[in-house]
Amino acid sequence: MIEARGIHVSIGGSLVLGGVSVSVAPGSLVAVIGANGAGKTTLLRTLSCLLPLGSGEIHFNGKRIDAMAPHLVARSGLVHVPQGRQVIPHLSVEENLLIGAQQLRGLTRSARAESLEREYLRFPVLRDRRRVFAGALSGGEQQMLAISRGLMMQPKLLMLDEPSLGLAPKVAKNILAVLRDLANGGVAVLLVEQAALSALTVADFALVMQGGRIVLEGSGSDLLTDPGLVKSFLG
Amino acid sequence: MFANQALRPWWYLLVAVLLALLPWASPNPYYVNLAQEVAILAIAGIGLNILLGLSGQISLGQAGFFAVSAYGSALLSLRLGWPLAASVMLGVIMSGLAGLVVGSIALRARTHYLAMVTLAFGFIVGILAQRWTGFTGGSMGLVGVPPLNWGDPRSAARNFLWTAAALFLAVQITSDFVMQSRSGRVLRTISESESFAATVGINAAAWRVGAFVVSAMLAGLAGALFAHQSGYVSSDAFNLDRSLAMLIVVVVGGLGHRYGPVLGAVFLVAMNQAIADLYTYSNFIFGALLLAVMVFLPDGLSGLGALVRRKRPASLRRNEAGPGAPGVGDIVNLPLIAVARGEPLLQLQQVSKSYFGLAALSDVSMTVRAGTVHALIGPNGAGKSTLINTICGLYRADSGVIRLAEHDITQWPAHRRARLGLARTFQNLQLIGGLSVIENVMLGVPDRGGVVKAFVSWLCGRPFESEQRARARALLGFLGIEGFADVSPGDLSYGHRKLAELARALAGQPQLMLLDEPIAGINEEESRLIAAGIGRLREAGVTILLVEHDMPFVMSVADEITVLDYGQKIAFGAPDAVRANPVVVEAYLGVETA
Amino acid sequence: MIATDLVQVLLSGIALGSVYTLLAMGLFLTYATSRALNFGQGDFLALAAFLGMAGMLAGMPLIAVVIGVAICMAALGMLIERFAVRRIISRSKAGAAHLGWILSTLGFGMMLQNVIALAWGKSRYYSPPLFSSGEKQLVSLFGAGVFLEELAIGAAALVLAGTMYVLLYRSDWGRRVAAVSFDRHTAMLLGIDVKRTVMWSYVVMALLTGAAGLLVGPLSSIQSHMGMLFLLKAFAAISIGGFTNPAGLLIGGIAFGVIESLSNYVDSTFGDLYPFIIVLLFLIVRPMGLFGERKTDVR
Repeated sequence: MIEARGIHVSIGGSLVLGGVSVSVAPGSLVAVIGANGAGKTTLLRTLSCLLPLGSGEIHFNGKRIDAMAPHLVARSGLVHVPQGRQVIPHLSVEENLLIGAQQLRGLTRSARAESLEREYLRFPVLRDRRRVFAGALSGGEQQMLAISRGLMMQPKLLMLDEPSLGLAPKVAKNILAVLRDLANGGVAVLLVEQAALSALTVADFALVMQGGRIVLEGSGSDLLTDPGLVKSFLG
Repeated sequence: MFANQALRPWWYLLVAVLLALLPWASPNPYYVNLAQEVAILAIAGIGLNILLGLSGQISLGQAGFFAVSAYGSALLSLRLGWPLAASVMLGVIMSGLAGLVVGSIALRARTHYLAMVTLAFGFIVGILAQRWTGFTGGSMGLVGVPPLNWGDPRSAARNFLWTAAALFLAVQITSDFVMQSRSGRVLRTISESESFAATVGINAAAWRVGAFVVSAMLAGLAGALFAHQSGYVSSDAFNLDRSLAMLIVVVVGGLGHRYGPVLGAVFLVAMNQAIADLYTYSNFIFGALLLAVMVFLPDGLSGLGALVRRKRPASLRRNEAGPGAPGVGDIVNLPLIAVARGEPLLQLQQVSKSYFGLAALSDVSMTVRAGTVHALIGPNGAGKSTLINTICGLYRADSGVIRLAEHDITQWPAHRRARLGLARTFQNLQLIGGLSVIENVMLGVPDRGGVVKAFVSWLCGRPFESEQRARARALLGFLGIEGFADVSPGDLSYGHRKLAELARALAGQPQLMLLDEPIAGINEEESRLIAAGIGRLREAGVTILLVEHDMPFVMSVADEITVLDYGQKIAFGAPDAVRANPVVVEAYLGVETA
Repeated sequence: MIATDLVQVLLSGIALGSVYTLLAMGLFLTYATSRALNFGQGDFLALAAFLGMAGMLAGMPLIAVVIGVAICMAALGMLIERFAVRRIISRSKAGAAHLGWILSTLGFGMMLQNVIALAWGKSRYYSPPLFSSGEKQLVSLFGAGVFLEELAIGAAALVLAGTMYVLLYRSDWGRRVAAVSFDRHTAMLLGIDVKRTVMWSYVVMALLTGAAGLLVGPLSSIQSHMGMLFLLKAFAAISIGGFTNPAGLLIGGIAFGVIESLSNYVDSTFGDLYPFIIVLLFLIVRPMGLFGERKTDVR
């Protein structure tokens, strides 16, 4: 679904990504893990075209996208759920859900209502709170909202930046299970996590980043037992 | 202009002589009158340039300050018969007081709020001038204000020009000094970031108000000259258009540039002459100019010169001596408070801090011992940045106690903590773009007064602030980047910028240095350089508290490590112990949920 | 004060205040999407007032005047966004540059002001009524005779303001504005064309200002350089009501209009001074926080 090769990105004169390649196939869940400052968020922001590419290529759905405007990339089905959820606090839960879907051309009203219903089934708590301002939700609810809002845009690739950050372990586990289901349903999922162990248990494949490079890669279960993992975090 | 410093006094002398000769050089009295206008406008412009160009505060109400002094001096001389010297002086002081009031209000307002506050001030003064006819004469004006002619009506124009030109030159010289010395650096720093300014010991509030007072007094000086120029003062002279004219003078001339105001004043007066027939189009032309300058030429006329001049190359002679060339001890061994090595220097007792009900720090207690390198680590969102900001005073702790040596600094503002020897670097580099690298470092050198001495040395073309400059240069040499001293920080590589920031933090002879991600974003060679630098500082007795994500680096430089997670201290100890601590491993890697 | 006078003074204040509300909504919108205000907005208002007056005097039907003014204003809104705002906020760095948009939009406004002065001179004009037939047609309200024109203008402005609220809170466009205002990058990730949203916010700002200009003509005399004064009053409306909540704009606008009307009634010489002093006091008491939390500028 997405294939990125040899990505270099500098911000303010400092090289943040030094030649990263990543690809995600439909129906698979790929995890990118690594400590703070490894360049994970930058990678996602580059893939969704929020940051200009220094060099390298990004192909999505058979098309080269690295020169496209970010809102068009999003509309074409590459959906990025940013770090910190970024739900719009002064809009209600339902408005947050609708806002992304409303930007899609050619999506009928009934199709939109169907997606809404589907998301309410996925996270029933959102239905209960659909008239509430998103800013008043708990962290876990906000994360569910952010994911659902992304799914309303009918993604072919869903990218998530630390969805479990700051959540209670039980909630985090629940969210990871939802992501696994999505992948099983055919969506390509790219998951960035610092909480490596839980991410590895659900991932088909994982990349470990350090200092803007990929230092380790392999299947989720292989990496769980790799002694290099702890070393990449704690030196 | 002053390629050679030593020529400075002679240049000024030359300008003074030229100005003195101006009345004879001009073909008719009309040009003398134009020169008077330029001088008045330039004086007010220099004031606004200090306010807007240096301190970054906008004013749409300079005409108000102009009016206060114009009326003050006119009425004192007209009604009470004061000599002009005294009435002008008091008028200027009155404008300064108005500036104090508006400046204090300005502390609570920024950008567009400030624009509105000053606009309202201008309107208020304008309305008072127009309606309080018993006092000001309204738009009919005050007639018979004593003209400034040294008691000689026949040479009135010449004498007034000499006075105005002399005052202009004095103001210009002072402004030149400000731009090249510490006060100019401080104002530019405040303009870019007040919080950062506080961390190098600058009392930003006082400087901001000060800039307002100075600019009001200069607008007032111009106003008083205006009142005694023609002997007639009408409220029509103090409307919004005059405030806008002053704004155009500094913007077109070049904001923050030394000769911007005088260039702008010449330009404005010349334009008004050139387009005298087109007078009805003047607002259109000036409006278009304002727009065009802001969009295409932010440095105004002063920027034209720079466009022509070749850009300076970034890499100059590189100092190959490397770190440690000058004696480290000479540079960093001046502790302001002495705490024996190994004794507690910084102590936190149950410090808590929350935003909007969300706890960022809860009951964190830790001790940083003098002469050690202490690392603060933890996963994303652990509260490390909050803790650093609470220690340096950018945030105030909700509860708990922070002690530096014997001082309880919990309630101190950031600039006071900085003056006690608490220096920091920033995760997002804070180097002031309008200053060269060495000037950035000099910001960190404590101010030891001596402004008058510096001014005299500067005016005579002798080296000034040489002690600070030498110290800053030595520090740059110590870190191996002396070759970049005169370059703008924007032209440096990221790693060199990090080093420049380190040099600035060192310049304050810190007791305790807070380093926020010192090696984030730099290459291995540069991070080895910084690690070596930290080691050497430790030898010299400087205490360091650092936040860093790069664990190999942390493990190699730190003596002790404190680990935060979710705003709580979860571990403390020597590097090896921390690395092996299962609680820490779990905080970083999470738990297997399957 | 006589009770019947009071009704008239209050009505005048409300009518004028509702015009300030429209202006304030324009300020609110552009600030929300671009973190910039149009300092030439007052001059937009003046131009609309003069165009409206010219159209009415030329005997054009009201609807034609409205459409003509709307087209002019929309075009100006696009122009100012494109040429005076977009480039400046996109390269905004620290220092004086963050004031760049104040100066550039101010310059744009000065150009407009000059255009007005060229066409109509600098003297005071009185616009013909939009809604009522005669000069001072009276209707009875709470037993007091009040000017029909003011009543109609107040009503028209309030209907417009109400429409804006519906758009802001209930339309796809309003949600886009909310998203862009919250965070540009997040909005992009939601497929929102941020540039377009910003541009449209300037168009809507110009339309609101145009409406305010048409309505203010019959309420007070108009002059080529009236703009800044009205901009300041609209800003006052925001500082009273609060910027974060658009509902506050209505309260603030009306409150300021009424205060102004009352103070002019009480003291005709210095009457227009008091509102400014109140503006200053409000800016002192409620600075900055109106636009949101004050943040430190380094991390």
